[in-house]
Amino acid sequence: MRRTGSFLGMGLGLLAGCGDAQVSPNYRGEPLLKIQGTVTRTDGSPVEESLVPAIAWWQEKGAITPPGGAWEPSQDLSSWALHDVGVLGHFPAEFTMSVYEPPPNGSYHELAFEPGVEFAVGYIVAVPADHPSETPGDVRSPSGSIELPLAQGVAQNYVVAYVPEEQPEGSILSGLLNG
Amino acid sequence: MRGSAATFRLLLVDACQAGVLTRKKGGRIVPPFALPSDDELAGKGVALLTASAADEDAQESDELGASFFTHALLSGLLGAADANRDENVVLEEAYHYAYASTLRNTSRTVGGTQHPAFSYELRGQGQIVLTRPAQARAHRGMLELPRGAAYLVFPDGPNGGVVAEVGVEAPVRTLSLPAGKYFLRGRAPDHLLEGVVALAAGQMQHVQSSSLARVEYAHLVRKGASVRSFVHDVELGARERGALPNAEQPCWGGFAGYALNVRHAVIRARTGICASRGENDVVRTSLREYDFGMRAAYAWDLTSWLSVEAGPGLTLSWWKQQFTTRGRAPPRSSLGGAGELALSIVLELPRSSLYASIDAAAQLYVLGMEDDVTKQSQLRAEWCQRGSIALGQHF
Repeated sequence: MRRTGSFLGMGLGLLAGCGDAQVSPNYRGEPLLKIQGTVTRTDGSPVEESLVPAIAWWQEKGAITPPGGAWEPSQDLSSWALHDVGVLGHFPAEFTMSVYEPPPNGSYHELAFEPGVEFAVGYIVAVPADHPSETPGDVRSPSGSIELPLAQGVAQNYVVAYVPEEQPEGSILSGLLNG
Repeated sequence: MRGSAATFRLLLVDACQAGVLTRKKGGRIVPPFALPSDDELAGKGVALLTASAADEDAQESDELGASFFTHALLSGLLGAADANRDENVVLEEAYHYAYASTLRNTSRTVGGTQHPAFSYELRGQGQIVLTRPAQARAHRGMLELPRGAAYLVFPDGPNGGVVAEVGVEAPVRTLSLPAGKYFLRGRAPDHLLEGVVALAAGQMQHVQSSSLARVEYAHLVRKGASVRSFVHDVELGARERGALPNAEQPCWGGFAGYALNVRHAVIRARTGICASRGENDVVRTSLREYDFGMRAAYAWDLTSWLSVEAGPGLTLSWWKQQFTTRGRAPPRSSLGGAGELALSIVLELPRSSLYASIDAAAQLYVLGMEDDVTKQSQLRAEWCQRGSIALGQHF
């Protein structure tokens, strides 16, 4: 009887090995982007555990013009769409965050020098866990740096760019993204 | 027998290869006995009725508790053989009835068809009357059985011997029986009719089919009361299975099934589909499960309309997860399976060959799951429950 049960279990196990593995209701899709990092405060104080990572997608209408080759928003930023991201590891210590969705509608901008090509820009930020999905308001500081009222911090020196269409090799945008 | 002084001699032989006697071979002389009145005999001579032909066995029936031939002949003498309905059962009528009944009842037996034989040397005018069933009403009653089924009459309940039989096509359906209670079993082409009737002396009892309990195919097979050794069922139903790790909600769907009812068991095969949905902040998941399962169950007939089945089964499942997302989530298909223990309640619907069933099962599923964190595939075994309702028909 025990042998019969073993064969039965083995048979079901072999069957269950066929095809793709099923996923749980927590499945959020295949990651479009994975980022590894560590959050620290510049003054050395501890980071609150209640913070979560997010990407703040810039939602201002208009075009982005690269003045002199540098990426600067041409207009004041008026709102941000905050996207939660999946996190592995221990945030805010060492973690890996995964982006599962493209930026929301309203986050796409047209490149002035390449009409028809859309482009989204976002910043990796640390925000309170109970943040709203959109954060309106003036987020440019008098000094001209990027500011997001809810953000407790932002990844310096990094920007996330999303282009919904595959860009042909040798195009200006492709060159900029790879550069 | 030839040495007997009787003016009319009737020899009934129910023995294997008794037909040789009709060819004037064999036989054994026994002491003579007196008949009540020679005056009533319209002829003189010898008549010989044998249960089988010369090269045949005389068969007996466990169900009848007697030999086919004797049983048929007695039924005929009780009135069933009265073809012209003159309330007299004559020698030819008794023989013809016994011949037809024996032939019919043995046509599906392992021993093969049995042919009673008849030989006679008679002189005189008129027919030899063997019984007058209607004349014994002082202590007997007349039982008229309905058409559409072949009836057996049991004096001591369904497990006793059979006192009489009336065929499904028999034109005469009236029997003369001693007063008392009788268990009736009518065998129609697709169901059984059973019931008890009380017969008073001098009474003419007309039995109605509607006054008898109807027993359906599956019960017939399990009771061994059918000439068939199995019965087919087809069924349609709806079901709900508890959520597995690949879904947030229970899986609702339907199935089509087939069942084979044999003497003490039911083998069921079902194929079905069910669907479930789930949603999180990024992905909406649609799950479909296509499955095929088989189950063997032991069946208990609690009443003529209620049965319980219990037994183990196996199910093979194919799952397809499809996702709606603004991101990227390709569909996933995989195979898995489950072992189960199921319990079913089957209700026979009145006056039809339809049935309804409710069943519940505890299932142990084995399926491949991707770990939420590590994204590694792993086999998981999960218990879940399944409930279903079905409507089916016996064939």
